[in-house]
Amino acid sequence: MTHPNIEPDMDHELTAPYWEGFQEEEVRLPQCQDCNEYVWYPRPICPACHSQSVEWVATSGRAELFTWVGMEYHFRLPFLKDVVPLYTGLAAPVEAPDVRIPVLIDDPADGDPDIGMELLPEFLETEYGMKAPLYRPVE
Amino acid sequence: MGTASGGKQLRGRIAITGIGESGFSDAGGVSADRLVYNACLEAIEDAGLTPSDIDGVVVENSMTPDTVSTSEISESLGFDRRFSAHSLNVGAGIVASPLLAAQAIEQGLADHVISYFGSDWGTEREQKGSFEGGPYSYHTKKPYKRNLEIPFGYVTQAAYIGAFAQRHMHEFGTTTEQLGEIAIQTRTNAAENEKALKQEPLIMQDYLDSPMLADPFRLLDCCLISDGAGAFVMSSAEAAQEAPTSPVYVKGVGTGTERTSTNSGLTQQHDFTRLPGGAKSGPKAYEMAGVSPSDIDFAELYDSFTITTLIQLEELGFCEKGEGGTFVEERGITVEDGDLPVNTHGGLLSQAYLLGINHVIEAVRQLRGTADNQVEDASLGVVAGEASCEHSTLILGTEEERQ
Repeated sequence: MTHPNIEPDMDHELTAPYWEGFQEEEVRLPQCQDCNEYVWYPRPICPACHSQSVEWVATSGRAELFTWVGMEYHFRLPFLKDVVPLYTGLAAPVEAPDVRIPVLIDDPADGDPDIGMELLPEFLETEYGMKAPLYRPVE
Repeated sequence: MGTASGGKQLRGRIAITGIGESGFSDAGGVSADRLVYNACLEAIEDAGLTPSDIDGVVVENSMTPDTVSTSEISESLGFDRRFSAHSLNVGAGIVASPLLAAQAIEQGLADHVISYFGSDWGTEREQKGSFEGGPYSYHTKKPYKRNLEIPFGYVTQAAYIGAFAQRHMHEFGTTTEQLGEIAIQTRTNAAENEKALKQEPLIMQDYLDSPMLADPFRLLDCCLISDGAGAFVMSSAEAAQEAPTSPVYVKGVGTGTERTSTNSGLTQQHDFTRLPGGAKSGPKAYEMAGVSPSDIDFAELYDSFTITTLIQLEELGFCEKGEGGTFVEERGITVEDGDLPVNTHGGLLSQAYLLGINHVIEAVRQLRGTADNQVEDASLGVVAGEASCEHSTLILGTEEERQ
């Protein structure tokens, strides 16, 4: 399973820290330091309590699969051309069950991914020279 | 929290008095400007007006400003934008345009309001081999999508909405064959429509054999990419009596949103068996119109994908939650023998991909009795339009409101 060859825009302040975490092999999420709610998608203030003390914190990386899609066609997108077929989906980090992070999922041993399966990331080097998570079911 | 009701006083205050269409094709090579121009001219003439009679314009908010803006069309056609506004996004915006138009017309801010949409995405895809504009680049240029989704393969409308279908199948046991029925029956409706781009009838094997694009979605689960334009003119109920066509009254219109955004809407939507805002718009429209689902004769539902037709059947109250697939299989949505004719023109799946403006136009035809695939005695219809964080429902009817 290879990541699509499209590198992130590291000038985007609100989301660059996600990728900074990946380079340290961590899945970090923004969390309000006042009310502890996770803020996703990342925003400059906490939508729940309006605090501006939102910081990126490390999570275990463990996440439960909420839904998945089997990408079999590249849709004429250059960054998909060489990497399909692949499994992608949304997973809920165990620390933040209301958060859904898009995930690249490794080929299951047999059949399709199962909704509800617990996943853990392995960090792989991408073609554009950054580490990115590939999620696998917890054995 | 505010109450959701209100707007009852708008019931039947305006009518759609003119409709126009231009150039439905897979890739006709005509610019979006020219297609929109022609559709608008046709709608204005249909309403018995001239371009300088138009004094208001309402369009959807996300694609239209970059394709053919309101100022461009007012300059091209030669009218004053006494009232000019952007509605919600894409399909939700087009379907909700009458809400803004009605308020403007009621308050004397405009007399004749035009709404339109057009694109040359079909031609663009042919010429450039891939999308630089249109729905795909719209997503790749957004930093949130670029950084949080696309590097993990989570990209394309087919994936975003395929993920909804996957949950619906998981939670309610909706089957591949039920999605197939939607494609097949919508195509049956298209076969009667002269202007539909896809008319060859489908059988289940055709559906199952069509290439898998984003499992669970096959090619036949996905709407077309096409060129074309549509437009409609709205005027007061009183002015509509002077128009050469029989009035189609705006009985009710409602919008629904979630506390998500165009960036987050399709991934953070809490319940993936519902469309964002989808459960909220219908009740408001029904309440404004003073009708219920059993009064509806036909439905033009935003069919970006087969599952969106299915979910909207549930959310608009035509069947219980989770039963949309069963409804299509057992009760049917064709004009010829369905219990509720849906997408009588073939929809976005089989007629053309015009963000739902073709759904509004088809509803008007049905209510005038001039549709190719006519529902007998149609007097009340619903149109629904979606977007990534909002949804709209419009109820149109032939009966004048007694004031």
